[in-house]
Amino acid sequence: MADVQSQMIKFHEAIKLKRFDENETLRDKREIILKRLNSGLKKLDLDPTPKYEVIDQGSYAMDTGVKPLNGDYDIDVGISFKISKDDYPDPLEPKKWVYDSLVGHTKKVEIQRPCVTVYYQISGEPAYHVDLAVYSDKDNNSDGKIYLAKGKEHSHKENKIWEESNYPSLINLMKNHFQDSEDAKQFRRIIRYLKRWKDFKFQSKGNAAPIGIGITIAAYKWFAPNKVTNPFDNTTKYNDLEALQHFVGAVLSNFQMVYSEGVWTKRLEVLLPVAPGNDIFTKMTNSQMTVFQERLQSLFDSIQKAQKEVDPKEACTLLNQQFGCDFPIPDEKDTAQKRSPAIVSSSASA
Amino acid sequence: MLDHSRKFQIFSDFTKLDHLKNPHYLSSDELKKFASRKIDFAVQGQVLIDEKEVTLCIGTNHTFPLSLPIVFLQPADAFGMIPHLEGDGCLCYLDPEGLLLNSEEPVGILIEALKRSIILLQNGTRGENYQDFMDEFSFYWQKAILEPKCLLSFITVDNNLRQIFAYKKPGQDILFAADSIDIVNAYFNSELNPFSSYIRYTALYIPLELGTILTPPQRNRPWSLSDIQEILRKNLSLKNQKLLKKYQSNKKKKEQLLILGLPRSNGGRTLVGLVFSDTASNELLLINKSKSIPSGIIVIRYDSDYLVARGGGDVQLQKVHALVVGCGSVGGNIVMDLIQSGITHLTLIDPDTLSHENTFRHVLGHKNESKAKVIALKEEIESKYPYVSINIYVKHIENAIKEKVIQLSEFDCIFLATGNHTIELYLNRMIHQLKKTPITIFTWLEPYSIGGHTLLTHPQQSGCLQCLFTSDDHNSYYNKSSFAASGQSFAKNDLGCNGSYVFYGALDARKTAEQSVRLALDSLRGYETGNPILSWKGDDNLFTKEGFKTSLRYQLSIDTLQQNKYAYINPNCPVCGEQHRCPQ
Repeated sequence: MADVQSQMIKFHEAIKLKRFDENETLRDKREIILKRLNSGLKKLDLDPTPKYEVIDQGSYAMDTGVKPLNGDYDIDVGISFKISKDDYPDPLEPKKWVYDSLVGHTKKVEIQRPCVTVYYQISGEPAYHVDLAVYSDKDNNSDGKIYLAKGKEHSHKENKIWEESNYPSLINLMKNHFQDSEDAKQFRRIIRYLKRWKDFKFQSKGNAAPIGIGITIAAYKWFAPNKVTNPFDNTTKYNDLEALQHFVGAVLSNFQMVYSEGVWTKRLEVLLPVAPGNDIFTKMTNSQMTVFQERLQSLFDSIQKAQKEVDPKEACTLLNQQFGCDFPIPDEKDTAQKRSPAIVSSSASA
Repeated sequence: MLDHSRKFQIFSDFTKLDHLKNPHYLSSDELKKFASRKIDFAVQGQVLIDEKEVTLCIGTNHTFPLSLPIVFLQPADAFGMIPHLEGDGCLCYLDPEGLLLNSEEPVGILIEALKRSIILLQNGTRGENYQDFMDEFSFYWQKAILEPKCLLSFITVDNNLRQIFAYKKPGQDILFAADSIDIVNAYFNSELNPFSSYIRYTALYIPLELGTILTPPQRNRPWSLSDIQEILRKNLSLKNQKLLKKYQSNKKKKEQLLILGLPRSNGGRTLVGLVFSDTASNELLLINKSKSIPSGIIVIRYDSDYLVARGGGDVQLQKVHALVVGCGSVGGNIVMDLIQSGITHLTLIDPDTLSHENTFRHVLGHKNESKAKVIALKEEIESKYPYVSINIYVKHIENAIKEKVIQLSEFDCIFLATGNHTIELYLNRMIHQLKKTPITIFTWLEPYSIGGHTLLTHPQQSGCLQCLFTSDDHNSYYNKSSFAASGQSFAKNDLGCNGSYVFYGALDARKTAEQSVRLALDSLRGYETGNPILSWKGDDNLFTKEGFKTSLRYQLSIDTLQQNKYAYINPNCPVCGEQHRCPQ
């Protein structure tokens, strides 16, 4: 069996989206928007000017981000206003504060159902967008809960709601999932592998693609670290491909027959472990779900084939077809008999 | 120590318990009888030994209760000669060595001493402990000789009656006995013969059959010629009777030496000497009722079996020929440990000389400064230990092999303590390619006292030095057993490039050497048949203080290290892996 762990790690390095503190451009863009928000809110002449807290959220905060294939980076920011939802029955009101503060900052600023989005373009192509989710802070609500402002300007009244949401605590849940930092690293690598697979295999817009947070939560539930510790020298070797195979297998086995859209069909249900606790994949149609399952099965089969391959080049070619061109295929030079370092230092004496 | 009134109280408590009938405290006049035993307080009374009433006297000297009480049988010959009874009636009821006395219970000590003395007398009168005579024969022998004379014996002590030689200076008493003068020279590690002026004449070594029980002679009842004739008639094996006849002669000799080998119950033999005057050796086999009395001689054993065994060494290991490559701090200690363990046939190889910087970490200190290490070690060993055979080569091992001055296959055991794994991996491969291969020990230290390692490899078995350096991914080349994390350099260049050395103490070297020699002995004795690596782990305080990092293996507990001593073995090892082994 070929050992492709080094190729897996190279692949991860290629797709890994660095966190804000490591990524200057994105950090700068985020700061500019937050400054604009701050000054924009003051200009709105609200009395008093609403106070708020900025919350890092999304894959940046969880350190599970992958570089987008279409170049459209997204940045998730939470704006948690120090207001009680009861004082603002219309959740659109604080969303509009944000919209009004930022509108005109770029060519396109939109109120979406869960957030306000600011789009950036470079040479007419989407370069990145910033999603600002608007919250009512837990300290200002009598029940001590956080609420997300949902709804668009022209939504029906019943779609304009304050929805209980504890996304911020999800970050901690993910961060503290593994005590062993190396296990946690494999956890995040596996999430990134599958998110990139998703981006590569579902390039169309809309709900056809399973959303990234769904993969993250699925990993939170079903991923188990895969490693071997050598009892002699106490070193640990992680096997990402095997970990991925087990994880994808676990996801597949969680597709259940359910009655949906008037028919019996197999669907994957992944419930958010924090409020609102909804099924993350609920927006996928039955047929989208079927495509998702079929493609996952194809991925699973390819991984199994790759595991049985003796030649690492063949194994990586199979994986490259699933993960796209960032997955490296070693050339003859790499796979030829490897040479160990020839001169090393020694701690032995006598 | 107790004052008189306290002692009186103790004895008074003791006598109240009625262990002695009619107790009587000895007056100072009566105590004078035991002056040589320095007894300052004693009580005597009657006890029953197998229905016979005898008097026992129990006394103490000034060290009591830190020492045993002394018990006497009165009169001393009440039961004739029995084991553990001295001429003045003193009973050796316990060997004081290896005892712990509860000095808080002095009365208890007196009671126990009396009880044990009674049991001893009962066993003696019933003849149940006569074997003890044989086990302590030399003690009785020395007591029985009026004018004690000694001779040194270098003879091999076995079951074969044979002719040996006695040596003496003209006009003097016999000095020593040996099978040949070569053995005596071997004892002194002397290649010359310093005894050429000595007179040599034949003598006989007569081992008595196993199970022989003799009553020792006494001062007033020494062995006569007819006693000895009877002993030989009754206690020689058939084979030895025949041999004795073969060596007999009717020529009367002025001095006829016999060395008797008396079997002990635990194996082994006590030697005693007898010198007859104007006697022919054929008289030993007669029954002539001769009352002539030979003189007894105390024989002190200097044969190598005896000396090695008495030193805790293994007599069987004297046949082992060991090669020690690298005689630095670790190798120097290995050499000394091997000799003391009974491995006395060594070949030492090291190209280096002792430098003054080595003084405090080399076993030889500074007295041999500037001398080649192997020469200095040979001299040191020969001056300290008898019966050693040391070959030395002031060379690099690879040159010694190339020049064919040594053949690795000739050795039973090889120690590699060069600290140079490049050379040792080369030798490891060479050793595993030999048809007949010795067991090999690789050993080395790590800096700043974090540990030391010993790897044993048996020929044609999985597990060798190469396994430690072989990884399946071919991406790395480091020693997997190392307690120092890989990729760090430990050469301390404060002496310039040529003088680089690594820090470790003499204690580390000794510990590593001891671990290595123990493992080799376990293997030679067949206790360890696998190829383990043993690692001792030291404190990492100094190591980390100097900014170095320990390996993940260092974090394992001592128990885990021990449990995984075979886990380094790599079945795909290019040297010892099954598909790479040479056909038998």
